[in-house]
Amino acid sequence: MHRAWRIAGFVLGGGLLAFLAVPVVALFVTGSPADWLAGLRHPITGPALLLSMVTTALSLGVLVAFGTPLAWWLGRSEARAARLVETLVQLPIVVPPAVAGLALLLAFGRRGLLGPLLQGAGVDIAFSTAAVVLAQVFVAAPFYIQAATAAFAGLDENLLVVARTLGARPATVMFRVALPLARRGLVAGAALAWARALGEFGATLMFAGNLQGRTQTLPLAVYTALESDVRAAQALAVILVVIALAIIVFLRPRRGRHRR
Amino acid sequence: MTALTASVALRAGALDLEVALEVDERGLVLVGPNGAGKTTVLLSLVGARRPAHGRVAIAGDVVFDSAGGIDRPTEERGLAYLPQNYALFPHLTAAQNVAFGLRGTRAERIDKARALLGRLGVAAVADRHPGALSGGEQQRVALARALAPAPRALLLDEPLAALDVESRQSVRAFLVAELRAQHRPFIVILHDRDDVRAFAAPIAVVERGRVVQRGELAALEAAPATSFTARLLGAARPAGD
Repeated sequence: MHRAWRIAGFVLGGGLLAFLAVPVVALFVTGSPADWLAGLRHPITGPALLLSMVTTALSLGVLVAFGTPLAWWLGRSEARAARLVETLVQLPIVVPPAVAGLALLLAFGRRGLLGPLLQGAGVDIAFSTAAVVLAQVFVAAPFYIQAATAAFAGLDENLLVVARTLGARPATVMFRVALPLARRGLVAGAALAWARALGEFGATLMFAGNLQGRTQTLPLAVYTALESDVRAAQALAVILVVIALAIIVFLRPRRGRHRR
Repeated sequence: MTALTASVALRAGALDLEVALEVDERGLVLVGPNGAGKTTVLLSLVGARRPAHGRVAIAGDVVFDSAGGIDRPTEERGLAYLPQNYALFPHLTAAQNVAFGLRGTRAERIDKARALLGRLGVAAVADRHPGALSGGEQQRVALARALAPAPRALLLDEPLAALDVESRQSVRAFLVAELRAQHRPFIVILHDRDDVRAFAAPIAVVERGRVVQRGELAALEAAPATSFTARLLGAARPAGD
């Protein structure tokens, strides 16, 4: 009986593992390196790769610059408002990306909530590269904010108080104590957020469209290439999977060195 | 002369704190049950908690006065704070911890830090991170760090609580001798009768946010005002004494 349970568990768990693995394996084994090389030379590949690198770097920069102060407040404040905001910030994780794209369009589109305001300022966001960045920031924000909030919340208040008593101004405490100690959490959050931004598809398609060289990022290029050249789609997909694997390996739990 | 006077009143959660303290160069021992507000007193003195009203003056220099609208930032108060867990910066070596509050070039600060660690008998651990130090070593490094910027007064929160029985006595003797040698006013929170005796300083008993008794050890022993004080000090006498 005991043995039967073990076998059943093995079959069920192993079955799921196989199901998860087979598609990834298929991406690699159904094409040859020669195919991937041809795919990489496909005219759709270069611009998409470049655009993805540029836009994800920008959205990550925006997210770190704006998200770090927010996460500091969320992590250090005991106000009830902070707990409420902490919950609301998670929303983009559970909202379908297509809904996020529609919401962005209704907010920043030409006929959106802020459309007249933006047009008055001569800014047209929808279906531009800026829209790609905004879509990425929107969907990736929770990943960075959540990790950074946890990292800041984990800081011992005594460390911050003692640093002040030793003559350090708040900014010095931030850069010499808080950020170095929270670094691991911040970097992990940034890596996850970047990966999410890189994979962004639905919101980008709705809000930024699918224009080569302007809004056609790697995931959109995979989708587009599939209609004409499976090899190109596959080559792009392989790039994305390799990057994803690299991120997972980078984020794997490590034994701490001399930290706390 | 009074080196440090403070009256602070604040509410934080269940704590309703309203205490007035006077500290001279002999220092002050704070005792009281857990949750009485002792740590909050120290935090409000350094400026990490803001009293609803009160006044804090160090050697006549007012650093907080709710009536006068004075609230100097923590870094300008010149008060050293040694929390119960010592709060050594885990990402810095012992020498870098001590150098944190020093001025000068990087090399100067590290040199001074090493000298200070040497004076406190822990020169050997200068290049180690706090995680690799014993409790007694951590305490000495933390004390060196607190003394480094020449503070006007020292605030110590249960400096002996984190130590094991073996090292406790020697560290206590060291700390008492060092504080006497410093001639700096200090407030130290203690919860052990032997520690209280060793410091031999005036005592203030804090219970539920109020000072319920203050005075010299002998006076408190002779006439403890509350059962807490009686238990803390009375039990120190051997049976039949």
